[in-house]
Amino acid sequence: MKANIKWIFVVFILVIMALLSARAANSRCIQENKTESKQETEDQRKKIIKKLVSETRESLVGIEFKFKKKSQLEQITDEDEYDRSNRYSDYKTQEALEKGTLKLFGAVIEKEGTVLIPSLSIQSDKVEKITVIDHEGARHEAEFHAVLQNYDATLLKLKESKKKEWKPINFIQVQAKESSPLGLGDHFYNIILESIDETWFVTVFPRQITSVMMNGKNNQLFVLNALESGYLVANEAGQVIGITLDNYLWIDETGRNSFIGTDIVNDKRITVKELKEVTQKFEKELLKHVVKVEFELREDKSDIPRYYRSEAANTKPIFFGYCVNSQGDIVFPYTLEREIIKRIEGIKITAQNTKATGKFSGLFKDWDGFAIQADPKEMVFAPDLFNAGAKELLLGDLWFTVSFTEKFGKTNVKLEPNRVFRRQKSMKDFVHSVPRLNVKSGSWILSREGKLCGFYSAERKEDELEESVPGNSEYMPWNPYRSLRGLFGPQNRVFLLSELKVQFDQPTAHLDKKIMPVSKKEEGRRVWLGVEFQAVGKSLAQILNIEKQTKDGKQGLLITYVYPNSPAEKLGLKVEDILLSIKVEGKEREIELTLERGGPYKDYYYPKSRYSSHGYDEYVQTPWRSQKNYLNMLLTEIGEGKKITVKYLKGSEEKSSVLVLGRSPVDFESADKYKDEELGFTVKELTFEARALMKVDKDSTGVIVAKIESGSKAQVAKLDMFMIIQKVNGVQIKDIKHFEELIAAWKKSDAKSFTLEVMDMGQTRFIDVSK
Amino acid sequence: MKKLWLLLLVFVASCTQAEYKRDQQVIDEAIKKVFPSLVFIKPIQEEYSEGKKQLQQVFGSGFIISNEGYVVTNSHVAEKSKEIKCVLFDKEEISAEIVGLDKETDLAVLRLNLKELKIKQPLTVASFGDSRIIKEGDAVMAMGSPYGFTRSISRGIISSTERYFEFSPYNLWFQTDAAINPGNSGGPLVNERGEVVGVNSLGLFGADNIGFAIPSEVVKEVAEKLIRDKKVNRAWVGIKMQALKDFSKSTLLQATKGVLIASVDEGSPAEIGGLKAGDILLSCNDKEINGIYQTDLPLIERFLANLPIGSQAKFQVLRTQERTASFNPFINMIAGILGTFSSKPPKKKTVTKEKVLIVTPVLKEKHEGDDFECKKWNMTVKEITKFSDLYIYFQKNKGVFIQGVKSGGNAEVSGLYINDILVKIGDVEISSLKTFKEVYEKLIVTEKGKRKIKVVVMRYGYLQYLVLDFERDIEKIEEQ
Repeated sequence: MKANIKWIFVVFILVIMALLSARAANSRCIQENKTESKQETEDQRKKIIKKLVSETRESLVGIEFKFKKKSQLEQITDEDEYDRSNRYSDYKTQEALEKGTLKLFGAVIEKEGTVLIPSLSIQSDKVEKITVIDHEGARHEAEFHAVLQNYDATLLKLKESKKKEWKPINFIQVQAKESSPLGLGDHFYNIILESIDETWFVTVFPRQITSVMMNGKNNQLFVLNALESGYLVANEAGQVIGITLDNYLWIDETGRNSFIGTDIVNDKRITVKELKEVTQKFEKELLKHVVKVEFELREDKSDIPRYYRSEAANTKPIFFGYCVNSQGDIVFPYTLEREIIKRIEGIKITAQNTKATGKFSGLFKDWDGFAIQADPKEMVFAPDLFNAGAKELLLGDLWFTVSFTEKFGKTNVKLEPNRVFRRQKSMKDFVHSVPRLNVKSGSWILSREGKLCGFYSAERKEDELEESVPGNSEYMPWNPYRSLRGLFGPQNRVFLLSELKVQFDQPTAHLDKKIMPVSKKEEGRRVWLGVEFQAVGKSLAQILNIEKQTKDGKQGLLITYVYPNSPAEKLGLKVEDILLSIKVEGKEREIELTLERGGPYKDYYYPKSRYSSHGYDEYVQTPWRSQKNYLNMLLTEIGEGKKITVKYLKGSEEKSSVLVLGRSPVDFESADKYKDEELGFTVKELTFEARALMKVDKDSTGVIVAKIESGSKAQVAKLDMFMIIQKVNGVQIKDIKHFEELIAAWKKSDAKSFTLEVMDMGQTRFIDVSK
Repeated sequence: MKKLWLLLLVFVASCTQAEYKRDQQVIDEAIKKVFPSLVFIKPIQEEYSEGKKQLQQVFGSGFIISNEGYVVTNSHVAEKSKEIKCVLFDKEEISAEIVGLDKETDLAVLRLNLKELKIKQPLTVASFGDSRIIKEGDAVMAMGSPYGFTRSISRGIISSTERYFEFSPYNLWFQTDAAINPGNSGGPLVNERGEVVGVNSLGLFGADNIGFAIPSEVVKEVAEKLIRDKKVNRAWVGIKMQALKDFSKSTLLQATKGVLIASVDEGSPAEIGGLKAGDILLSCNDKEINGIYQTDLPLIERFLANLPIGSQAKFQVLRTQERTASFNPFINMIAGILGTFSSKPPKKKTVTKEKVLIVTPVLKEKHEGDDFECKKWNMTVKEITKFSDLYIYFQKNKGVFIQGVKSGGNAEVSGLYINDILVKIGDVEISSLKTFKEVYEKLIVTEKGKRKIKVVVMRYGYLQYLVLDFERDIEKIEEQ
């Protein structure tokens, strides 16, 4: 038994030893194999690179573009027409435009000498001369020949191509639809031409697919970042399969792709001539249907210096729109500032020689566009031109951007071929298309067939201002709408008609009715509560024992004055009460009142003292606080007639009251004024906030001196700003009209001078003003 | 012929020599009369600036007006002084004390402590000349200690006898080109006869030889009152007057007599008596009043200030009243006075009536409020008076305002600024300096760790809530 066990043991040991040795031999063998295969791949790559260079060097050509010199006027108009803020502007080509030349390389795809290049971000009419340099260094002149319909590429044709037989690139046929020719981890090669110190080099980069799109589609789509357009693509075997026309290599489910050579070469071509004919035809058609609108604006009477106002607020704006339904609704894909909308007094419509008037219907709630209602009898709705079918613009597909301008007294239309360059996710998770060429906001999008299929505009959020009235300052002389939209505003994108169709059929339901033209009188009346206030701050919150309620003094507006007969007075609000928040009926969000939002904490208000000089520029700070303050701006955004719940602190007790928002009386900024050019002064109505600060009792009447021209008769008479004129020649002034009448009567009379009884800081004085 | 020429030259030369001699003699004699009465005044003043009380030495001038040792100088030299040292003509230094100050005419009277004199000898007393007969071009000398350079004399002429300043309602000023510099303040302006015709008080900084002196006529009157009553009591009726022809404001009313009442203060005797802005004051207690030009105003102001307090003064005024709403009544009112119509025949009825109203003048309140230093808060406050800064008084008519805050001090760090009017401290309304002092004294003994108080100030007409934190003792920190 014992011997048996011994044997078993020996056999066991032997078996183990045998196994171990076999394993060792095995692993040695694998190692040898590995180094051998590495050597092989190295050799193979060498071969492939050599092969690629020899195969393609005769088919790759260097190209030099020389641009036309721009006249100064053209430079200015270019700047006007292009939205420079568009971040997808191709900086390289922009730089080239400024420099005057651009060097590229292209691939010869036909033996007649057709050269394929990725499309430029420069219009063809800006190019003066194109030179093609072949592998021997010979220079040939070329011209634009065609564009591809489905790919972002342009074809050049050599002018004297018959003299020479070119060697085209031999793209290997690959089936992109069934499976991708390149998969994750595959090696591939990029072949490019580089110009270094006036010499062209062929360069081959070995690359590898290392990333894949996470769309669960079995690696059908794949990407590789950081490529440039125009690179030849060869597979692992060294066969040229394509040319990159994007920064990514991609293929979608339908087989559309950004690089497969055979597809590109066989794609439908639109020659330059055809393109020109089509463009002209479409332009004619569009001019028939474009609706031009001119606003008649009331004079801007706000005291905001021009610097703070937007450019548009100072000029008479013209917009171009399109009639979108049979009810006479015209849509304009532009941002329109509320400062302008407020002042609209009349709308002149010009459409194909018919002149009509219109009514402003409102801004669209969720995108930057507005609608105007015209008489349907006078408007022509052209459903033929209207294509709401397209669900999206295909990548690479050719379409046109349309921009209208008013030039030399005529409406001008400009069509530019454009393509979708990239897809981007926007605010509402909507994937939108980024055009290759810069598009001016407000442009129309026209399909290749000449159908209107969208607008280029920005997204809008209905209550965006309500939420972002900056609380860092109690007074805002500038237009918050402008800074909000201009600096951090939403990005422009393509809005397809398919997306907007619902809105166009029934515009009223999709318009923001808050921002509408108002009468002259209404313009200056803000929605108000009728208080002056200050920030609470940490130390005050501490001492008043309201740290918790005011979140360490960050939340809340401490009331420092309550205007007589104001909603605040009716609610029983008193000085030292603290307004905490506002809740608009029907909205979930509670608006916390704070002066801390959007900037550094500003505790104090520094108006100029009564004695200081009268400001700089045109801007004069009044001794009373402007009513264009945070609270009033916010309430104005919420809108008149809305029901709100105000939460406030009385002592440390929290209370709330409900009120319906109403408008304040006219304030000083927008009060009626009378300017006397001859005597050199401007007076304004005695408004409620000025009355309060200047301690004018409610029964007193008069006008306030708002401005004195330097060196004028009024200045000589020592009439000063913010004096209150109560009487003219002993006659009590009732209002500004009455004052104007009294001055006019005096001017007609023989009297050389008139006497004003003025009130200045509680003291009366008599001032003689002479003719 | 040659001889004749020579003769002529000699004659001319001797003539100028004689002229010069006479001129010099005049000056010498004038100096002899006044110079020995000149006093160099060196007060140590308590100054409230930058939020704290500070002591500082200032220099000024003065002159002896009586054998008892009364010295006339400027109020701004003597005011707020803790002690005053005077150097006399014989270079002896003795102390002096304030007899009385009159801020409104910027005059003060001191009394020398004659006991301190080592050599008893009679003082040289300066005599006043008649400032009413002084005319432009008269030669004058200014004596004093400009920048502390004692016993200096500068010479010039009277540039103007009728300089009017709005800040000094009770007197006109002499303007002279005799150099007047800081330190000349309070010194005499002397004419060629060796009489004091004015007290040098003001120089225009940056200008060439534009100096101003208070006429002796006013000085005499004020000095007498100060010696008698220790202060100048003035009557107050509460009207602001405007000249009928005010060239500086180009207000040219067509009336030829009286003075325009521009404004009547709220609650003043004038308002109680029924005076109204726009009235033309023709006479007071049967004395005709004429304020045609601005320069006429000080005389009227002085006359009104001298009305017996509590008496029933008769004010005769012209008033235009409208019967119906109409245009141009004011001009017509004036036209009525003139007996002509300046504009087209009036369609309306305005009545210009002469009225006699009885006004009871009261004693004028003090001109400038008292100062108070809040050491623990690192600020100084000042009482608001009717006559202090108009803008401050307009915002709040009583209480105290911050006159200064110390840089980096508790008040400044807590956000209090100069010219803030204190409305509430804690929950106490501040209606006077007295209440403020009480609140302050109570608060500064608060235990450590609780030295914080809510303060409500009025700033540019609006309330501002702040927290004054006076936990730190800045004085102690600075000592370390």
